[in-house]
Amino acid sequence: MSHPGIKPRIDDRLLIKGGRIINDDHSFYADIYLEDGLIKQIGENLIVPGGVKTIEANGRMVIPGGIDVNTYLQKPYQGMTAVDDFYQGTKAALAGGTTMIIDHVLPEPGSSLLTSFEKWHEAADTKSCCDYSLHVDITSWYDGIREELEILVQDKGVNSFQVYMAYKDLYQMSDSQLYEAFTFLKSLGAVILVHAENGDLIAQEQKRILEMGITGPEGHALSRPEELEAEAVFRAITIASRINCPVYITKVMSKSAADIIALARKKGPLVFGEPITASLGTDGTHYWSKNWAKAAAFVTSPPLSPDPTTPDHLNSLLACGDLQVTGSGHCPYSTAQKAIGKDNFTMIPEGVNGIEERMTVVWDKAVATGKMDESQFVAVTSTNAAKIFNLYPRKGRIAVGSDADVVIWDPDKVKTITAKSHKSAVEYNIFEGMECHGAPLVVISQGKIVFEDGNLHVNKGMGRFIPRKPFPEYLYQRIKIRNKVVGELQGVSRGMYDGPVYEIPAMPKYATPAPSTKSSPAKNQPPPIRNLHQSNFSLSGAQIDDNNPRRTGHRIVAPPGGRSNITSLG
Amino acid sequence: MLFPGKAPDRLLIKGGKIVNDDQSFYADIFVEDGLIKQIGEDLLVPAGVRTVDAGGQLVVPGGLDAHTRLRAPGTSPADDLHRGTKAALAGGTTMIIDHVLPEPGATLAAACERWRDSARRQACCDYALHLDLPRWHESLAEELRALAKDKGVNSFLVFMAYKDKLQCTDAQMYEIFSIIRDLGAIAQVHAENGDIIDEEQKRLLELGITGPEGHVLSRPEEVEAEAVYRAITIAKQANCPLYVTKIMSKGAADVLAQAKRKGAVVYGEPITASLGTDGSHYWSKNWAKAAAFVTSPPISPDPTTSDHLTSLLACGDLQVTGSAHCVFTTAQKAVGKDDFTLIPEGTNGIEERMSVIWEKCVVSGKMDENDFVAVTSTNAAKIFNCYPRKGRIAVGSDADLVLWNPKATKIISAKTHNSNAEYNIFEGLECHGAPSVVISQGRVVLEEGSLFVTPGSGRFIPRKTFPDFVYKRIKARNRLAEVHGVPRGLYDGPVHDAAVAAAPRTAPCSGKGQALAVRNLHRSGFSLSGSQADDHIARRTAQKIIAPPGGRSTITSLS
Repeated sequence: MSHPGIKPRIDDRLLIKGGRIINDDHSFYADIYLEDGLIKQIGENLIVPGGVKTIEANGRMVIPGGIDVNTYLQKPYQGMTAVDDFYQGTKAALAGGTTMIIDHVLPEPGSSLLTSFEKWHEAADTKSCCDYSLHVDITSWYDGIREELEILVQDKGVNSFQVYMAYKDLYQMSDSQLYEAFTFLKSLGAVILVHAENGDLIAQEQKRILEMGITGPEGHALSRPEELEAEAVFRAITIASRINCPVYITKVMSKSAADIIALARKKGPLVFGEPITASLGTDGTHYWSKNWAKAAAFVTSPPLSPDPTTPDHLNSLLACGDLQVTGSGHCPYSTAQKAIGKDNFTMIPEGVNGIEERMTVVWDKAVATGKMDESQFVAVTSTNAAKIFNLYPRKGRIAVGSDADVVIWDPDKVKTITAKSHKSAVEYNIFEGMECHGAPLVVISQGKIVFEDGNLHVNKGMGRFIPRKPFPEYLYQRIKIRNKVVGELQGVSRGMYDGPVYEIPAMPKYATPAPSTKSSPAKNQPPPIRNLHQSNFSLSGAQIDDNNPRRTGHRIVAPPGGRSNITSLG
Repeated sequence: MLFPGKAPDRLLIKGGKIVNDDQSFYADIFVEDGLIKQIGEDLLVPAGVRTVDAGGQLVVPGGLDAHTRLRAPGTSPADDLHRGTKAALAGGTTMIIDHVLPEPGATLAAACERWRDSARRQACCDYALHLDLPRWHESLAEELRALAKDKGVNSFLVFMAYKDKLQCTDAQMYEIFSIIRDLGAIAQVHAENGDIIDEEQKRLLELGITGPEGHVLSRPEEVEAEAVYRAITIAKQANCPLYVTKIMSKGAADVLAQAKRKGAVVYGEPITASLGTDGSHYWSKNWAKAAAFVTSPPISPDPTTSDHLTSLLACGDLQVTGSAHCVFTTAQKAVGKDDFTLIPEGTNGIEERMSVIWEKCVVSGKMDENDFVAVTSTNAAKIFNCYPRKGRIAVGSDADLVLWNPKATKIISAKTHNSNAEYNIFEGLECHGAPSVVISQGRVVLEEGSLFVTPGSGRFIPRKTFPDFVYKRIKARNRLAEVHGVPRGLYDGPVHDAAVAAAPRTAPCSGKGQALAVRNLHRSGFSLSGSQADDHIARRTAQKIIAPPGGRSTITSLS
């Protein structure tokens, strides 16, 4: 161990005595015996080898380690990366009770997903202190991407991909591309993550607000009103429900976006929403701070809502199950980095802290206020994420055979969040001064104590990559059934129409002639069988008025479709 | 008995119950020179005036059909401006607002001119024009300004569907809405997500579904609701009033109703088809019948739709009704016999509109006769700025009047309708309530079931911009919408050096906002304080700044 004060070569065995085990479904008193990074036994009066290190939990809660589903610890922006890398970031995670992160791989548009994935994988492998997994963001939809996605899913252990509806001319995808991407990702059994904001409108608003001379961080919030977030969420859900695929909205930042998700869930689509530490713990009024550096520290997208009632609302929806998962979106930049945008808010690198504060903030805002109980706390900080991203029950549960990622939680501990004591390298903490109830006492990762008495005992690179399989049951069981229920669409079997057909004049219905043939590929048109019918019609002889293209006043007594039933042929 | 041409300019309507959108009362009406001259009892009128005895029937303002398509580039609809307006009058509608869809290459003004040329010869009732914007182009702002200022066209439709043909992007819609707001016009939108429809059409054709049922399967109502939601979001951002044409589904109507509750200035227009029938007929075994229902957005297959829409119409969540009348003969529809995407779109409804609404809304007790007048005439007149000339029975208003007989019973059928279409999508619907006499421009045009119309007698009704009904609120909101930046001192702490990569990001935001002379004063102030010791250190990840860099730099410290 790198830390001097710790006993070297601690063995892999650990007994947690007298704790109250909290899972998402129920809680009970039992001892836990850990060995080789796994939970080996749960029960009372366990038979364990002599000399095992024992932790006395004294009736405190023992919960599954947190899973932070949204971090950006290597996000590139104009040649630099956020101040918290995988080492710094995962240290902060562990200090807050989070024992696994799922980081976003963000390829530069145009570069291949696979290469970027390998880059992230390597960086994380050498630096990460806790277990990690990777989402891959699809920043452009290029030729050959399908093969790469397949490789990522089949061989690389990635089962979740994020698409962007914002960042016009950079990452943004059109609705057609989204449709295509969703369809393909569904066939792979992946989880589809969506960054939901209307990029077209944001670009317009940014232009307008800069023209008005507003260049500070408040312009960021003004140019991205919450309606634009809600609109994109609505659209993403519409597209997903057409395709019958699950969709997961990352960073739910506003009441309206959350309400759209809640409403949609009541109508059936499989939608999941992820509020982040920032939206659950603070609000966007700080964008108007007189202190530029402070205001800039809050810049993230979608922005924090300036509506101060937002955190309360989102916590309520989290408690009732309308929102299911919490992330942090952790991606802090130093003030000097943020200052790239000092004269233009659109240049401020986006990202806030929250990886360390996440569990505490959720406890303080949701459990300490009575909105949710301890089991729900475990569900939204760990279990649900493990289920959605197919890590369950290896992660997200205290059970025999599960990974020994365990946190002893002290609900009474009161802690004031401040940049002075946080583990992140950033100068500002967006939760500065917030007094939180509930904090981790002991954090155990892979069966080792990594946090105790306020001290971290970690090794750079000790975190493992956790591969994830496609088709998580939690999502795809229902999708598969719905596929069957809906079944294949069938057309009406009706006789061929053999009445008169109007000759289209030179110009077709609308605008240009090309698109109509484009939207209906040629292969649908001439099935040979149909031509039989058509020839059948011509046998009946040419009509007197065949050369008269439009007969407005003509009333057909026997409707043209009437006699043409296919049975009349048989 | 009256004959066309011999119609006197004076008319007395006696013993009717006048129904406006706000109240009803018994009074006589004296009409002269196409205008309502007197309303009251025991009117002093010149001798020998022709008198119509209303016999206690309702006298309502003539219907205003806010949405028709009686002319189109390419395949001409089977009902042209003559046939269509004749059918309109037969149903109690005395004014239509027709959609001008410019043919490719034509200027917008030229397209409007061409429309008016046809109408001058053919229209039997007064008309106005909406203009459809087929594409975004640079000079659009000027063209629209000219039309709104000089040509009396103040409503413009953009399409969110018809990918690669008419469809606008969100950014274009925002620009167009901004122009429209500045002109004081009404933004109309055809709300369907064209991208999704395009994908669904491909999928269905690949499945081998080529019949009219493919039309509705490829355009599910979520896709309509999504577009309505998006259009409202964009309009709200641009602070532009929005009018959603053809509300065809419950989903779309609900989205609109919710948005109104949140304060959006938005109007929804269900049409005769969505109020009177449903989309189950797309699965009809009779191809020609199924094809007759093809319109976009499609008529919802959910049979409870019409009941829901009429309820929203009654409670004011939806305000206006149109017909979107645009019929094609079966032969014309048959162009798409092997591919539903080629079926020309449009249904009938111009003649049936008033009767269907009476039957579904008034007879069922959802609305009263005043509401009926509001949704069939007055609201449209207010939104499209021809109130109180149209949409009201008042002294000085146009003499477009309908004697409505609530006791009449009529069965809608293609055998008796005035349209050229072989099919009527309301075939067999029994309606209680029908016009017994229709007066247009002070002349009796329908009486005892006979029509006396003169092609070319309809006048173009120019409409001014900034309708009060719509724009009072918009103006107030414009004043409120001013946003201000935070006055703060310039940030004078260290800046990460990212000059190399800075270039690409500047593209989306024009340089305008940056080069403010005032700001540079501050910046020069900063350079006086000397360079920092660590200026050359690009990134200081672990540095904790105790006095925050922004802290000392407030503007007050300069004074």
